[in-house]
Amino acid sequence: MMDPQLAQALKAAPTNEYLLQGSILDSSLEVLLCRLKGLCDHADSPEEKFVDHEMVYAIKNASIPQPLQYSVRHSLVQPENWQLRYLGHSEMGDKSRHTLIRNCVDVATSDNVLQFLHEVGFRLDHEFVVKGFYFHKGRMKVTVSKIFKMMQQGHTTDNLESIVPSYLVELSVLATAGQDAIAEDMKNFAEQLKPLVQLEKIDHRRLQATGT
Amino acid sequence: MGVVCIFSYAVPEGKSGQQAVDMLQKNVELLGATRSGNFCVDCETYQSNSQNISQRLIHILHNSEHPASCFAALDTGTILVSDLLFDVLMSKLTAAKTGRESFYQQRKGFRIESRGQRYELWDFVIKIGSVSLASNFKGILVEVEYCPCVVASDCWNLIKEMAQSIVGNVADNPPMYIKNKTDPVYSPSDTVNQYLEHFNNFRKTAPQGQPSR
Repeated sequence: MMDPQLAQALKAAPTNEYLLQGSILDSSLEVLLCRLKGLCDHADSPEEKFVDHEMVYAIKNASIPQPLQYSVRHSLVQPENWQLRYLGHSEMGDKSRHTLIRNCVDVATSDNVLQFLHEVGFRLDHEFVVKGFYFHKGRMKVTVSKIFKMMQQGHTTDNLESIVPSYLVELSVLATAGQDAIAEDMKNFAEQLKPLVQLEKIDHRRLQATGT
Repeated sequence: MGVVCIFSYAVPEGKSGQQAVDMLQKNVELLGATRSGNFCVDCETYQSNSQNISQRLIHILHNSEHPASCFAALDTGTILVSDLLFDVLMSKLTAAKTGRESFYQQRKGFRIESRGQRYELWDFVIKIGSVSLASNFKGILVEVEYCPCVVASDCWNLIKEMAQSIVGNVADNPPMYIKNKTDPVYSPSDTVNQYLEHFNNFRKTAPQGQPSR
């Protein structure tokens, strides 16, 4: 029995993420950043950088084979920023849909979130560091980022090892359900980034199948 | 926001809950306080559901004074402050799918709230709330906030004087929670913790014979 006002607020909250992904080689980074700077908002200010420490927590028990995962993002640039995120399964949809859609709930929290998760029953599954650049155009968000493996647990500044010589490029929008017109906008924007980067809807299940 | 002290006001014998609330409201209005809308603090409790997770309670509280926040308090004392959307994350923990249990489940009939009139009087905010557990009247909580200060020990005497003129000698001593608080700086989590303590006490008391208001 939830407060009707609260229930309404939650219903109106954007929890659907429309997503396109691609990747570029390290050597092409400068060119892509230049292009993004020109296309996105605030072209005259320097691009925004971010360094995040992401920790993925899972909760499981005997009767539930599939663990529930929440990830914690902690900004290493602005250490007071903590975010807790839930990502649902991505839906590929059919050919008429241009982007992936997945449930995405992003919640800013206080700095005791790790202790909280631990006490609730979550355990750390894996962690990594993401460094990259952030752009936005209207409600579209573009990140160009590199994922680093942490060679020593808990060490986020030294002993980092990049996994591949490339950057992950993601174009995403958070919206309420059923706003499929956004996918069209995103497709048009992705067109403008060709041939520097090819942004596509990537089937994660296929990646997982080849990974195991 | 400042320092908040919450007092449980016992309903005088021979009076109904509503009559007691009316009397308190009259008192506050006589002091010169002006009405400034309604307020509500609600609390819903979840318990862990399986053998693998150690027994744990999660209390989810909302306070209309902080309408964009959700407070998740554990029985260990940890309290997480987050965006309102945390409720959606909580629903993932409580969602049961076919053939599998949820990690946590809501305790039925445990929803408790304090709801009532909010007043402003110069540097003070005063709230008179009737507490109801699953729609049954349980008691009255009076909240007195002194806004210009965040150090509890520095403004207890001011709060005491104000609170005594409303609830009488219930306010002779600071609430236990304030007394035992180690960090001198007061935060919204402390208000939520005080409410939680009171709510837990109300839940323990046997249901009253009195009809709800």
